[in-house]
Formats: sequence, structure tokens, C-alpha cells
Amino acid sequence: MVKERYYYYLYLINALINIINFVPRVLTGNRFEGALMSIFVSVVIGSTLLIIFTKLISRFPGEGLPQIYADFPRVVSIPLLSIFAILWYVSGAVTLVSFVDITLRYISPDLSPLYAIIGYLVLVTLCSRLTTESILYALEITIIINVPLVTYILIKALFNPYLSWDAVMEVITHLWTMPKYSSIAGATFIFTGYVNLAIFNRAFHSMKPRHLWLIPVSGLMILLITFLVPIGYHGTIGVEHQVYSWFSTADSIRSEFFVVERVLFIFYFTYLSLSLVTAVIHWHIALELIKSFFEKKDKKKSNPSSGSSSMNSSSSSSSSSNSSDSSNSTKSSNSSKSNKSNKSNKSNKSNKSSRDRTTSNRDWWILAPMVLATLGMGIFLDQIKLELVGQWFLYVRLPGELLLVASVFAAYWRRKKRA
Amino acid sequence: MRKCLNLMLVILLFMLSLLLAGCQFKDVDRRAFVLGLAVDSVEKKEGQGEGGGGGSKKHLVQVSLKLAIPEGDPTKRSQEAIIVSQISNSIPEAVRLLKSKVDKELDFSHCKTLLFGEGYAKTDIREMSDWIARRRDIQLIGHVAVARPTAKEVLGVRMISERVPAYALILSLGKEGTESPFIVSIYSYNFRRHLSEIGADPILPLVEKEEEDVLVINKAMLFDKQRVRAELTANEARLYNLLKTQGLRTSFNVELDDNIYTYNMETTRAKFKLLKSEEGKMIVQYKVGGRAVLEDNSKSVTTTGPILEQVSKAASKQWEKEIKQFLVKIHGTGLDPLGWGLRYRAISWNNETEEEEWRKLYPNLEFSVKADVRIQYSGMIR
Amino acid sequence: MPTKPAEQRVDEWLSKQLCGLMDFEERSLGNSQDIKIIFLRSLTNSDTVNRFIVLPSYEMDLEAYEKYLSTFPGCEETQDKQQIMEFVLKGYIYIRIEDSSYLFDAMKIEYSGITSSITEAIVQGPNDALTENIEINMNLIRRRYQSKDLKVDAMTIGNVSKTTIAIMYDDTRVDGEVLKEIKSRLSQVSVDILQSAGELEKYISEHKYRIFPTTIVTERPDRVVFNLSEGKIAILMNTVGYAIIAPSVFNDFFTAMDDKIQLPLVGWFMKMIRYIGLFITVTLPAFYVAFTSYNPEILKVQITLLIAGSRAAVPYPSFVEVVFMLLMMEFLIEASLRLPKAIGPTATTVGGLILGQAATQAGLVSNIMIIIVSAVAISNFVIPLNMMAFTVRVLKYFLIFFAATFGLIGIVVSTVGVVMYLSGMRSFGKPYLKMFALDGSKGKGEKQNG
Repeated sequence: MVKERYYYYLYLINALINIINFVPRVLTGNRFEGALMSIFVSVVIGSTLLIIFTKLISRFPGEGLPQIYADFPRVVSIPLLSIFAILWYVSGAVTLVSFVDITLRYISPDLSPLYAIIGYLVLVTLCSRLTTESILYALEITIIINVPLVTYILIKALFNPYLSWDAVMEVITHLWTMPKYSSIAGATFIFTGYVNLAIFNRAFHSMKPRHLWLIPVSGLMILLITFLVPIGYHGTIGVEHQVYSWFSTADSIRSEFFVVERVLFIFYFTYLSLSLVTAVIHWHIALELIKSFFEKKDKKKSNPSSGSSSMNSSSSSSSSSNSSDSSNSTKSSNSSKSNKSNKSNKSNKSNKSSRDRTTSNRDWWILAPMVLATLGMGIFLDQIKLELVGQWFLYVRLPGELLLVASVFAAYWRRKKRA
Repeated sequence: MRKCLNLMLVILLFMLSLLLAGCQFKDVDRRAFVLGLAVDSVEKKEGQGEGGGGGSKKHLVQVSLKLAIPEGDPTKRSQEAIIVSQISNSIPEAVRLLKSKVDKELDFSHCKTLLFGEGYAKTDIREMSDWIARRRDIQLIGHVAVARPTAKEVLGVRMISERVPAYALILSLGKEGTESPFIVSIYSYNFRRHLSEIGADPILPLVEKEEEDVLVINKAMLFDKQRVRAELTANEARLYNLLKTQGLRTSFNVELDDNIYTYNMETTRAKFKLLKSEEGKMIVQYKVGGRAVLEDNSKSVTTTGPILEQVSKAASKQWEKEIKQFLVKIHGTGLDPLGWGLRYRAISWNNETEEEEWRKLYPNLEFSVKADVRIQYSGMIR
Repeated sequence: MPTKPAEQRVDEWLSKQLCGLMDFEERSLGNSQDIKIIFLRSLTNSDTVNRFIVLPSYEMDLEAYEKYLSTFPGCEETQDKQQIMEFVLKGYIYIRIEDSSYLFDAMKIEYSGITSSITEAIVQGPNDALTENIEINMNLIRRRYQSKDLKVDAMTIGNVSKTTIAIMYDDTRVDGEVLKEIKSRLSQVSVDILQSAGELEKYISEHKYRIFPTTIVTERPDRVVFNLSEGKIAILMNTVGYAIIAPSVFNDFFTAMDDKIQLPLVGWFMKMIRYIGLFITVTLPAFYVAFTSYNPEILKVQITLLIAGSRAAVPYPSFVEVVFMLLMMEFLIEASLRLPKAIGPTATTVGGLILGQAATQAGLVSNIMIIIVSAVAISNFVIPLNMMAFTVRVLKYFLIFFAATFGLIGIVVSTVGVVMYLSGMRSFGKPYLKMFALDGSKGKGEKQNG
């Protein structure tokens, strides 16, 4: 069980990571075609979705998406979960692959992309099997170490006399233009952090985050900075020539009095760690979602009588290591006990180790195709294709988000009616 | 059994990753650091185009690199630099050919001085500017400048004061060491921005070789999107800096009652506005000002409050005159190094027509300057 | 009397079992010689035996003597052969008076007195270290923690060594789950000999292959007390001058007892220094490798040329240079640890100064390398607890490996990996690495360098 501040970390990391996921690319591409307007629109859309989803999910304390969907017939829940698992997987994979691209472009041009991606994948796969709480702790540390650095870079960027405010103003004068769907889909990405609650909600016992107004305000700030600062550095026309406009911007900043003169490297370190953690979070969710299919099957096999009950959900646990325990500890119904399985796993050790092994093997069988697909992406996607994939992901993600909110609402409705 | 397998796997992975090392593992002492890069254009008959083979001999370029050769003892001033140069029909080709002239791997990552020869700058700089922006290892915070007579000669100057090769150029072009008000300091990302921006044109400092080991940087070159169009004198370069930057450290002198007063600026500020005049013309209105200290006066007059006031007024008037002259000169070249066009775009909300409007407005621009110099202190003595 | 033959057999059995021992004593006392005592000379205090057992036996009759004996604390009547054997081996005296048998506590315990702590020195503050006697240790702790809630549970571990261990905790503050967990783990320990705290620590911790310690081993009673007050559990062992504190999280290993003494700002500063030290000692050699071999563009041009210049004569790649020098440093530390105190400094001088100087002049390593190695060594010693300092010593090779294979990316990725690994660790159910270890209650900040 963790405190509510972790909710903000989940939001914040997604908001910061947008640079890797082609959000600036989409926005600068549309800078004369309503990007600015779409930022304002997306702040409204994004924070509305965020607040609705948060309120909804707080009605399911300690439950993940598979448990929430337990009310649905399997014909509905399995396809839904698969769609979301794929979305989360792709999100992590796009982050990784584009960071490999960035690495090759800015840091180690001679490194084979294969090695870089293997290095990232080893870390991400190993870590995505950690318990949900552990990932949140790691997230907190990463955020707290990196946010001051990001802030430093931003301050450095904003107070640079060579930043052309005229160029920024020129883009602002394009405010009254109809926004396009593509730029709205891109800009809402930064609010997407809340969807991670789909699994991470298991770690929260109550979800009543205070100061929610901070999210639209900070989101707007982050979006404006993301969008406008590179324009100030590279000009209204030149910004389009940059492949990763923020990395070029970071390269344009100099910190005279620091050990590392080129801010690019500080920026790179920061974003490498942030994007690795994001990828871990997303893959952890994908893994847990896919695992939930098997858990149900297991239960039916081991305990066919209770299989008929549609509320046999609480089994899928908060961690990969003790997932098997809960299935025998909680046979009948309801919710919020998943955290207790944490403690129950110490009771029967001999039984546990063999069960542990099967779940651990299963984790690997799920992760293996994910890894292979990502390797494939890393090898076959060149710069242009990668950009296309990244942008398509942004476009598809928004409807996916709406679907998620709607389905959770439906689940809430069903449960309320039954009660 | 399982543990054993795992252990084997880990060991295997480690071995594999050891194999990976080496593909780009190159120690710092096997790299030759390029500290300065100079590009000159070569006359047709001289250029033999050693590499690249054939092709049109139109744009032959000579690329010169200043390499640092690190020597054993860092405490001595033994950091020798060598200059290698190569003529070819494109910059990358020349660099590739240069690799075989050096025993170490060329490393551009510390290359912070990028010089265009005057001749090259007068033909076409687009290739070079594209190349330096495209290459990942050339920093965007490098300094760009035009060199006279040729970039190679300027690069070859070894200032007595410099410890690290080409560092004197970095210090002065970046204003890290000297704070000369005549140096127009331009980073390469800045240069690149002005090359592409609509409504603003690039400007670069001019580095001149004066004697064997003296470099002078006090002039500037105005570019259109392709090549040099005009040159600014030292005084004009200073005025450019005055208008473009805040808090320029410089001194001016003014004549009042046959007495020449020299004053040193402590703070300066400058901003401009675009105003529409009644006849539909555009007025660029500059407001400049600053606080100054009196440095000397040629007749040792005791400076009282009223005298300071009078000097201030005279100085302001002189500023207005000089700046206006300068602006008119720039306007006469048809260029826009101060970004008036961009400002027009920034303040106009009818985006479709703004560029067209500006094109019509530009030839008839008018200028007005309001200067407010306040000489407030007389120094240590009255 | 029906019991008499059986009893006869007890002391006969006892003397038969023990008769081969050199220090075995069997005496008959009293005017009528019907008091029999059996004990081991080496374990008993002869003064006690003479004054309280031998002399009075001639001065009073049997009944009075029996009463007199039973008034002593630490004297009990028993018939259990096994118990009698155990206690005699501990240093008790077996006394048979007619048909009843007594065990009399006359233990002689040799221990060194309370010394000042050596392995965790501090500037100001209490200096006592735990001794090798559990009673004294408990005394040291109880004196500093005078609360009725301080509970002590005793246990014996070791089939041969029969080491007494005491589990101390504050009943009102301890986490019941953790206590149960520790007790169950302790009860599962099955070894013959248990002689040091580190051993026990190994037996009760979760994973076999791990490099970060999950329990603190300390010799400072004030640290024990401090941790008890934070709701932790201390395990004391007889014959060992160290206590184990569990559960311990990452931050605990960076807390010196000085922090309490210092002014708050100074304390924070010191803590920050330790984390910076950790960061430097772990990453500096790795950064050197990555910098010299992969990305020389990070630092300023002067430093680049400086390093390139000082490496000009070095024929080996950077990581060989680094590993070579670091190994030399490890040897130096190990050697000065094992050497007698009198020659210790000589080894340091010879190794540190002369070797370093000669190695650079010979062109085997660069000047910069020497500086880095020294910085690494010094900043390693900043970590207050040895367990963690040793861990960190190992950890840096891990990073060097990744820096040598992947360059800068390797460093960042492996640092993120370490943070992830630490976050995934649990010390008896408590998250090992967490930003705000006390989660709001006290708001004690913790920083780990990622």
C-alpha cells in the first residue's frame, strides 16, 4: 500500500517523457495549423478524462483492471484486456526503440542498434517482473533525482538571451486556427499517466488525490514549454528540420560553470533513466494484464466449483512472485485482499518454490514475444518508419483511452446495480 | 541444476557482451581532437580535386583542421597543434581524405570554432552550414565566424596566450575571456536559425589576421540566406551589439564645448517597437539607454552635476544620430539582421498575409531612435 | 527410598560421562561426607566454590545446608539428567544432598571489559562498544533504554556451540509481522557452531546471492538503542561483540551516530556528503572508462586534452588501467587490514605513495587515474557501516564492466538497474530502498544517486 503521492509521479513521468514519444514532432509539424489551440483543447480533454478515471477507479480500491472486468463475461473482458495489453506494450516499445534511435544519433553513433536495444531490453524485462510497489518506489527515486535536473535545464533554456521570443510569439499568433485531431491526440498524451492506474491501483488503498487542479496547470505549462522552447531556439522554420527538436535544443544550451559543459548529456542521462522507467511501468502493466488470462484458467482447473462465480477475481495479485499463493488463499470473492497475499507467501515454502517456478516461467513466456517483437521493431524501423509508428500510436492511443474509461465506467455501473 | 544453468547463462552473457566491446571502443589517446575547422573556397585553376574524382570543378573547397596533439606532461605548454588541409569537391569528402593524413581517428566533438573563409562566405555557405548541423558530433554551441584573408591562415595563427590550441578563438568568439564590445558572438544553432527563419538574417563576426600571431575580431558580416552581402565596421558592430544585447560593456566619447568626454557604460538596454505611421508606413522605433560612468575628459574640467547632465544630453543626441545612421545603412542593404520582419510576424495576427505585407512595407521602413544615456558618476574624482 | 538408586545413578552417570576430562572434579563434603559435588574446574569460579559451598558444609547440618543453598538465586533443584549435564557443561556445580540434587551457579566468565568501539568510530558521543558477554550487553542497552516495553526473548542456536541469543524489541513500537518473521527464521537455523554476527545474518536473510546487506551488524549500543526506539529488532548473541539490527533499509547504512549529535543543518550536510561519496565511489571509475573510451566530448576540452596527454604513454585500454589500479588499491586495503598495527602504515606508504608514483612515471597508468583511484578509495570510507562499504567496493566493478562494454549508456542503464533492484528488495517485508524511508511520519529525506 502506498501513499497517494505516487499517483502524481505516474502522471509526471508520462508528462515528462512526451519528448521521446514524438509529441513535439506532432505539435511542431502542426505549429501553423492549430497546434497551440489543440494544446488548450487537450488540457481540457486530458484532465477531464483523468479526473473521471481517477474518480471511477477509486471505487475499486486495491483492484487492477482484470479484477474490475471480472464482472463482464469473458467474451468481453478478454478482448478488451488484450487490446489494452497491446497498447501498453506498444507504448513501452515505442519509447525504447525511439530512445535507441536517439542514442545512436546523439551519443554513440557507432554502436550497433541491436546491442543498444538488447541492453535496454534486458533491464526492462528483468525489472517489469518486480512487484507493483517496488516499481513505484523506483519511480519515485527516479523522478526525485531527475526532476531537479530537468528543471535546471528548463531554467537554463528559458533564460538564455539567444532564445528568440519573437519566434515564439509568431507561433502564438497562430492560436486561432482549428486544431487537428493529430495534434490533439499528441498533446493529450502528457495526461495519459493516469491510465497506469489500471494495474497500479492495486497498490493504492484509497485514491483521493488532493490538489488535482495542479494537473491541468502543470500539464499546460509542460505542453507549452515542450512546444514553444524548441521554436525559440531553432526558429519558426528551422524547428521542423530537427529530428528530435528537444535534444537539439538541449545541445544548444551551455552550462559554463558545470563539470559537463554540454547540457545535451545531462539531458540524455535524465531522459534515458526516465524512459527506461516508463518502459518498465508500461511493460509491467502489459505483463500483468496478459497474466490475468492464465490465472483465471488456473483457477478453473484447480477449483472448478468456484469457477462459476463471476467474482472470483481477487486472485491476481500485486506481484509476480506471489501470484500463485493468492489463488489458494482466496477462493471466494471479493477484492482488496490481494495485498495480503504478500504475507501469506511465507507460510508454505516448499509448495511455493515449485509454484513460483511455474509463474516465473510463464512470465518469461509472455515477455519473450514482447522482447522479440521489440527487437524486430528496433531492426526494421528506420527513422521515417519509426516516426510513423510513433505518431500512429499517438493517434490510436486516444480512442483506446476513451474505451478504457468507458469500460471501467460500465464495470462500475454493473457492480453498483448488483449491490 | 537450475541454478547451475542460470549461472552458465549469466557467464555466457558476460562473455558475449565482452565481445561486443571494441566495436567502438577507442581510447581518448587514439583520437585526434579537431579544435577548429576552416573552410575556404579554392580558385578553379589551382584546385586539383584530389579526391572525389571528376565531377564539376565548380565548388572546390579546402578544408583545414586544427588538431590538438596531447603530449605527455600537461604542466608544460607543450600542447602542440597541427594544421592539416585538403582540397576536395565537398566537405565530407575532404574530411574523409584528411583521415588518411592523420594517424589517429578524427574526433569533431570538441570542435567549437567553425570558420568560413571570406571567399567561401561570398559564394555559398549552405553546404557547410548544412554539414555542421547534420553531423551529430559537432556541437550546436560552436562558434561560427568569417575569416580574412583565408580561414586556413586565421586558423594557423597561434596566439601566445593560448594554452590549448584554438582556445583563444573560443574564448574571444564566445566572449568567455575578453568582453570586447566589438565581437558579435554567434553560436552555430543561432546562425542556423537565422538561415532558415523568415524575417531575420544571419550575421557573423569577422576574424582578421593582423600580424603573425595577432588576430583582430571587431567587424561583422551580414548574410542573406546564402552568402555575404555587407560588412559592418568595428563601430557598427559595436552598435549592433548595443541594439541586440542587454548590458553591453563599452565606452563612447562625446564632444561638448571642445572638451572630449569619454564615458563607460555600466548598463545598457535596447528594445524596438514597430509602429504604424499615419501615411501607412512602418516605423521601427528604437529605445536605447543606459547608465554610465565618466572615464576621462581631455581638459580635466571639474565635473559638476550640471556638466554631467549636459554631457548626458549630448551623448544621447550623439547616440540617436549614430544609431539612426547605422539602421539606415542596414536597411539599405536590404537585409534584416535585427529581426524586424520576425517581429512583424510576431505581432500580426493575420497570418496568411503577413509575409506579403512585410515585403511591401520593408522598402519604406522608417526609423526613429530615442536614446537616454545617463552619466551618473564621475568616477573617483569630481 | 525408591528414588535413591536412580539418583545414585545420576551422579555416577555424570562422573562416568565426564571422568575423562582433565578439569573434572568430584568431591565429597560435609562432616559426614554425604554431600557430593561435581563440577568442571575450568568453568567455575573456585573462590565461589570454596566460600559458599565447601566451607559452609562443615559449619551446619544437612538440613540447614540444604535450606541455605536454595536461598541463592541461580540455584535450582532438578532431577533431569540431560539438564544437569548441560548445566555442568555451562559451569554450574552439581550438588547432591541425600536424595535431592541441586545445580549451583558458580560460572566463571572471562571476557574483555567494555572497550571503546573500533569499527564505527565517531567524533563525539558515547564510546562504549558491545562486549562478548550477553549479560553485559543487555546491561549496556537496558541502561540506555529504560522502558518496561523493552522485551527480551531468549533462544539457543548451534547444536554444539549452544550460543544464547537474545531478541530485543520495544513491544509498543515493533512491527508484529516482522517480529514473527524473524523468530521463525531464527528457529529454522540449524548449524553446529555459531560464532559471529555475520554468520547469523547470513542464515536469516532472504536470498542467498545478494550483495546488499539487509541487516545492520553493529558494535555500538547507542545504535542498537536508537534503532530499538525506531521499532526495530536487535539480536544479541553471547560470545559475540556485535548486535544484528533488523529490518534495516538502505538509508540506515548511511546514518552515523554522529548525525544525532550534529546540528541539523550540519547533519544533513554530512548525510548528503555520504551519498555524494557513494555516488563518486561507485561511478567515478566507470565514468572514466566511458569518458576515455567512448564519449570524450562530455567534459571540457582542457580536461579532455589533459587526460589524453597523460594517457599518451599508457599502452593499455582504459578499463585495463582502471581495473589494474583498483585491484592494487584493494590489495592495499586488504593488506593494511591484516597487518599488525605496527607495520600497517608502512604498507600504506609503500603501496600508496611509491607504487602510485612509480606507476605513473613508468607510464603504466595515467596521472589522472591515480587521482581517481584515490578519490574512489577515500570516498568509499565515508560510508559509516562496513557491511555497506564492502558492498559498494564490489558494486563499482559491476559498473566498470558495463561502462567498458556499452559506454555511457551502460552506466546509466546499470544505475537504473541497481535502483530498480534495490527497490525490489525487501528487508523482512520492509521496502529496502524508498525515497522517504519513514513515509511522512518524520519526513526524513533520503537520496540515492541514480
